[in-house]
Amino acid sequence: MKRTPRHLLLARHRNMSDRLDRVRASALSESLPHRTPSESRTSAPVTIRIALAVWWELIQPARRAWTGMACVWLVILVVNMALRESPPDSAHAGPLTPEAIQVLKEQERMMAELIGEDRRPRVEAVEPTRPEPRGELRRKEWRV
Amino acid sequence: MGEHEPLPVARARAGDPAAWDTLFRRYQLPLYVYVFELVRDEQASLDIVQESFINAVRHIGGLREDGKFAGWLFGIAHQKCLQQWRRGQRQAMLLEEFAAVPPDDGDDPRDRLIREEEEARFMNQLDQLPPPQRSVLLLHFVEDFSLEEIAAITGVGVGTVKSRMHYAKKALRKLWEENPA
Repeated sequence: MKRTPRHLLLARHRNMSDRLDRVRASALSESLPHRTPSESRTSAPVTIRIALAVWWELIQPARRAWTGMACVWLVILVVNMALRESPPDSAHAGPLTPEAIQVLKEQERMMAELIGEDRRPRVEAVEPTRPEPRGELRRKEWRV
Repeated sequence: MGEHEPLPVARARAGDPAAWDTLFRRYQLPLYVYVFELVRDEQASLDIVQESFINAVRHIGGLREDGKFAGWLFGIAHQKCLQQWRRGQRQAMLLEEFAAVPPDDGDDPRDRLIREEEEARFMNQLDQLPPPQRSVLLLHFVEDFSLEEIAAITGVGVGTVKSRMHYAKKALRKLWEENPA
């Protein structure tokens, strides 16, 4: 079997593997002195490990996409807040001045003239019925 | 971890020692090969690999894209090699012991002998190339880096890399023809 230059080169130094393992361990202990690989996997509680796993496997690999989505949501939120702000409420306006009341009355009068509306009440006042004594009511029921 | 599995660079960024261990385990031998073939000093090469690992952990923030971790790591080692050359501590070591090359069982001994001779010739001729050409060729052979990646690692333009690669291959061919087996 013909070997590639890569195979040749790696095979030439394969005997260095043990020393390279020591170099790697030494570099790790020097640059990350507080934790060993096994500790980092087991020391954290389950919830934190799950949260970290979600972070590293789901969010971190596509962090640009997630950031973009967050920005879009922020924009939507801001637009929504801006649209919710109601126009000046009439209830909060001050009490009507006598001049305003006069103007309103004048407008009402003009409107009535324009449409020719009879200002008299259309429904005749109904005479209130006089209540009958209870005994009379019972007698009527018996007759029925 | 297989060579084609995704590397846990993102976790390494957060200082996860297991992720760093995985990354370094993957690249320790190719990185050593590259450094050694340039520096030709076993202890100096081990030191450079170790320093490169430490620098990688400390300066991982400077890596822009996770997918370019390998090139970035080799770039750190390349700079260390240049420093080594500049310090003038390079020790020339000529031929290597090929006893370390594990023989393939079941081969015809004569074929194996011819192949080993050819391999020795190839390595010997690689050694004769000037360091800039050897560097380009090694990066191409060891990790199959693209021209752009090699340019980034060695800090030269893509055109220069192309040119060095061309002359390195030409020189190898010439040496091969001049020294037939």
